[in-house]
Amino acid sequence: MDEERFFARLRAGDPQAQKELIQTFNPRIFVYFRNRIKGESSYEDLVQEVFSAFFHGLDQGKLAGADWIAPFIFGIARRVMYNYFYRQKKSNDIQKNICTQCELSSSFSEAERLDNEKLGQVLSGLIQKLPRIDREILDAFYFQERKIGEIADMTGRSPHYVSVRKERALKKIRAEISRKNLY
Amino acid sequence: MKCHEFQGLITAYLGETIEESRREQFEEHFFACRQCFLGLKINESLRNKGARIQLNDPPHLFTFKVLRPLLAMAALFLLVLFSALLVQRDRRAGQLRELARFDLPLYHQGEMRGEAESARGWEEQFSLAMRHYQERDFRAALDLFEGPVLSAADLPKAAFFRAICYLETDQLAGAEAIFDAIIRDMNPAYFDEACYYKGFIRLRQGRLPEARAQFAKLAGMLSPMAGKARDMIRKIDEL
Repeated sequence: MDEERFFARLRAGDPQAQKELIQTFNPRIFVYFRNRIKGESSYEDLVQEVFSAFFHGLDQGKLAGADWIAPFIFGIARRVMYNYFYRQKKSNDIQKNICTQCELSSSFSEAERLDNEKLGQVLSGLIQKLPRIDREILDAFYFQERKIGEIADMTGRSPHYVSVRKERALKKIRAEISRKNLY
Repeated sequence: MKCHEFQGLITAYLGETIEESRREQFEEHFFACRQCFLGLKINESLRNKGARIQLNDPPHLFTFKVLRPLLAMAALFLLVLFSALLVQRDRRAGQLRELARFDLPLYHQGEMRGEAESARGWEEQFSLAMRHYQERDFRAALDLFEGPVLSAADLPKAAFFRAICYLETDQLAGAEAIFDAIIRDMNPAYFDEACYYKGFIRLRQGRLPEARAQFAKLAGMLSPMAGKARDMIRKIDEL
């Protein structure tokens, strides 16, 4: 993607560029909130607040260029998270702050769920193509929740070997997903 | 934070054992780096059992794995065999083409075979046709042989050389019809030669056993062409 051209499209209010931005950062913001705020059943309002603030800031010329998009969104997400903790006992009225310059009617939670489902399917297919030993290691580590040392004992290999194989398998999967632009 | 540092902290982040001082750097990094975020998502999906892991290979894949080298070898073998057959067929076709060549029957100006030819109106046309024939311009010769003068003359020698011209221009049906007529009429002037050159029609048609039978028929006769026919039989047998 030509970052600067993308930024120019965003500045011009191109709906397609806004959609691309949301698709890129929605999963990241979800992961951030999910790991930061426990016990919350839906982060949709918070995610919406982040995008709302982002487009508002963009409109006010707070972004200098394409390089600043990710740090800017991260900064907003962090602020939204702190605000959440600050007013978690109060009723928040985020809906009133929704930015009117951009269409934010999509369901972020549903998008996140579909996103995860798609990734799960892609992963299953790619894992099946791995050598059996790699599948055994991933299965033991993630599904049986065993530690590297236990897997080493189980497979009769050294912990270093198991660890390296696991990382290489993940790297291979990541490279394949990136190469085919599957996710 | 560098990408390799990030990869090393994914498990700690998801397990919430990451140091607080590193946590924010980690989060800032995955906001900016697509590859690292993908790594995080893969780990997260696996931890949440969002993907399935089948430890046993499906049977058909196993079979294919075993059969693949065998199939490759079989394909290679077939390729070699096919190439060898093609080469052999080409060589055989070349030999057959060589065998189907023949020396043109000679014609001497003024030669007469059989009964004396009465009418002389065709002589000039015939001489001209035979000049073309000797120059191997068979198409020009055929123009004259098929012309009204020589067609009407009903000359055995014109018919015979016309058939040879057909043979040389690969008009095998035309040649065969004339040779058959000569053989059927038992015309002694060109009978042996018609039998002999009919064998070449069969060779050019690629009908080797029938060509051999044709030459064998002539070889068994008391004929000046019998020796040449035997030569042809020997060549066919060597093929």
